[in-house]
Amino acid sequence: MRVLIIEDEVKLARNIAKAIKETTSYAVDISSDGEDGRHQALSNPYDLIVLDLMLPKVGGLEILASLRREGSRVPVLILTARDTTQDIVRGLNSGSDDYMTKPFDIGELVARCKALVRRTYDRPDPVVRIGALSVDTSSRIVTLRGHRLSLRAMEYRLLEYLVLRAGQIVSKAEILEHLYDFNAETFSNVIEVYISVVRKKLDVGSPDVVIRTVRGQGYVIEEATT
Amino acid sequence: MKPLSIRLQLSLAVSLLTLAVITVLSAAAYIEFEESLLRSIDTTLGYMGEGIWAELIEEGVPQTNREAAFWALTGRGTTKHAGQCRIWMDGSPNDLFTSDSPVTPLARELLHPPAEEQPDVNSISLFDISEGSGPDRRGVLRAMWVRRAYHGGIVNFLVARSSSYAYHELGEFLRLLLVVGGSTTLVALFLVPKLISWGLRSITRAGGQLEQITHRSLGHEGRIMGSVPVELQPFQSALDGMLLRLDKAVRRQEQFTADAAHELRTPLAIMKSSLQTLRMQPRRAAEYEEGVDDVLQDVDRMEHLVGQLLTLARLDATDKVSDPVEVRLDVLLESLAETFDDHARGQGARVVYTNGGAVCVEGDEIELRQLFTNLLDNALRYGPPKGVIRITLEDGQGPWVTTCVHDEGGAIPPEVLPHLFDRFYRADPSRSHASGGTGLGLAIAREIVLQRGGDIAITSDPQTGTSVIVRLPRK
Repeated sequence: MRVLIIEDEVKLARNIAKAIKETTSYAVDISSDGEDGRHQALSNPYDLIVLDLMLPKVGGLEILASLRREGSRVPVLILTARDTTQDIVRGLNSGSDDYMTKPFDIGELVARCKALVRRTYDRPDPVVRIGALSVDTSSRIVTLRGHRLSLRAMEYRLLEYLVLRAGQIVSKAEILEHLYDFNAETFSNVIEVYISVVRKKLDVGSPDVVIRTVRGQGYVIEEATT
Repeated sequence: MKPLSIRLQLSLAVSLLTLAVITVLSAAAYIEFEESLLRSIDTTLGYMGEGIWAELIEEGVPQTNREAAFWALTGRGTTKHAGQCRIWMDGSPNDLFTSDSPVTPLARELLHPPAEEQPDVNSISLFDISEGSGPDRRGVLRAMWVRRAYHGGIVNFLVARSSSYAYHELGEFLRLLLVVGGSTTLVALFLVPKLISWGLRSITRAGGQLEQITHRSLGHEGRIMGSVPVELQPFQSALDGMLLRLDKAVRRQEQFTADAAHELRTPLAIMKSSLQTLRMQPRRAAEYEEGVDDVLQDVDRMEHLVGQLLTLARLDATDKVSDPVEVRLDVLLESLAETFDDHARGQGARVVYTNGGAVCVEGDEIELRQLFTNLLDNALRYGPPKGVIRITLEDGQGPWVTTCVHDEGGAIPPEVLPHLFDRFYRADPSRSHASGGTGLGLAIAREIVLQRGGDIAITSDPQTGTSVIVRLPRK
């Protein structure tokens, strides 16, 4: 999952990014002005955007309007010091999905972010199950037949993304776009490497859940057919 | 005294005017009517006289006192208001003819006409005689006395006609006038208030609309709707203008409150998020230290902002202006320049004060210090790095002392200049804190200057830099 924070208070943006990174597996990008924020929001397939309203150069509501005009369905959480009902109604009516006013509780912000992402992938239950595999997206605990799997951050991130899109073919490009932030250095076969690691960890005796390669298209996670 | 209602005032005025006009018109009509009535009696008498004369010439002296022709001439038997007639020769003791009515016996006065009314021969005289006398006096007779030469003597004939009927008619006419005049006045009394209410209906409507206006609806829905008569248009536009000004003031105040809330919430949000992030998981001591320093910085920023908001609030409470005292402005500026120069040197900049001798102004030393601190702070913040800031003090002629704080900063766009003194104004609406300013420094500076009766202006030019010019009244 990949989140964009558009917030001109650099310190605040940094704090939010830190909190999201520490409590979720999401990749986070930060943009501190409206123009750059709009460009980034339009050119990358984010899973969530945290948006301040009063921004230099281009205002938050304008960014939101551009996104919706371009047909983007990305969930947007407005984070602003404007706290009147009027402001909130206007924000939500402009196409945002949630609204929080400053000062806010950072735990609540992260929880709302996670909820919005779950909705995007049509997974209201934070625990996703495929056969004997269970992925708890809130605590990031993965169990297979009741045994906890130990995954590293990137491995979990990859598995969570595949699991949320279980049954669908996920392309390598999509994985790259959704799992890495703007500054991450990626190399071409990094996905293959992580896929093979995760496959190994899922393969305990008789396989229950498999990550199948669909030649030329990508990967799909599904229950093993025996 | 309680002012009379406009309806009462106008109805009284209009009614009195109507009454006066009707009275004058009635009086004129009455007099005209009276004259014409009397004239018509005289005309009748004239015809009767001519008839008698013609009869005398053609038929001769009446043989009996009851000769029909003469009776007819006076109208006896044909009308109730018949005339009376007496014909006699000068010097003769007996009348040639005497008409006498059983209804109105011949007046004594007719038998003894007043000698002073006796006309010359071949002429006539017209006069009024009373019929009867005393309290039973029943009216007035109009009489015509003619004397003509006749058969070697002089014949007199006296015809008289009661004018009581004319007076009765006049009385009727007067009653009619009174009834018409009185009712017109009454109708005016009743109608005028209605007319006034009708005329004032737009004011009444506007009053209703004004009652609906609150501080939220001053600008738009609050406007007095509907067309008003031409006479009320200046009033309407003045009212609209006032509402617009109030609306602007309220909006400015609301904007200020919203801005202040935003400015206070932002550092709070940062502090809260910093502390909460810090608490999310166990961290190393160095990380905690870094976090605490981070929050302390934000506390400083907030402290500064709250201080400025309080200063502004104090300045806004204009009834608490401290009494002006004599302040040595040159000494104050010199000490400020020294302090700021020390600070500026650290960044490679300079603050230079050009000494112009002792100058005293009226004011409050703490406020003046705050004023120039804000200006120097801005000059350092927005001027070019390693630039020179010059403070010049001009004690020119006239009641003003002019101070100029000049930096070599680039041009401020002309459209921005008038807003620089607005509270929380920043050229960029983001209120970004990259510059570190609160957006209140110049607003505070202006309040201080205005409170002391001075003025403040800012000029900016890409060639010469930016100058803030402060004029204060000299002591």
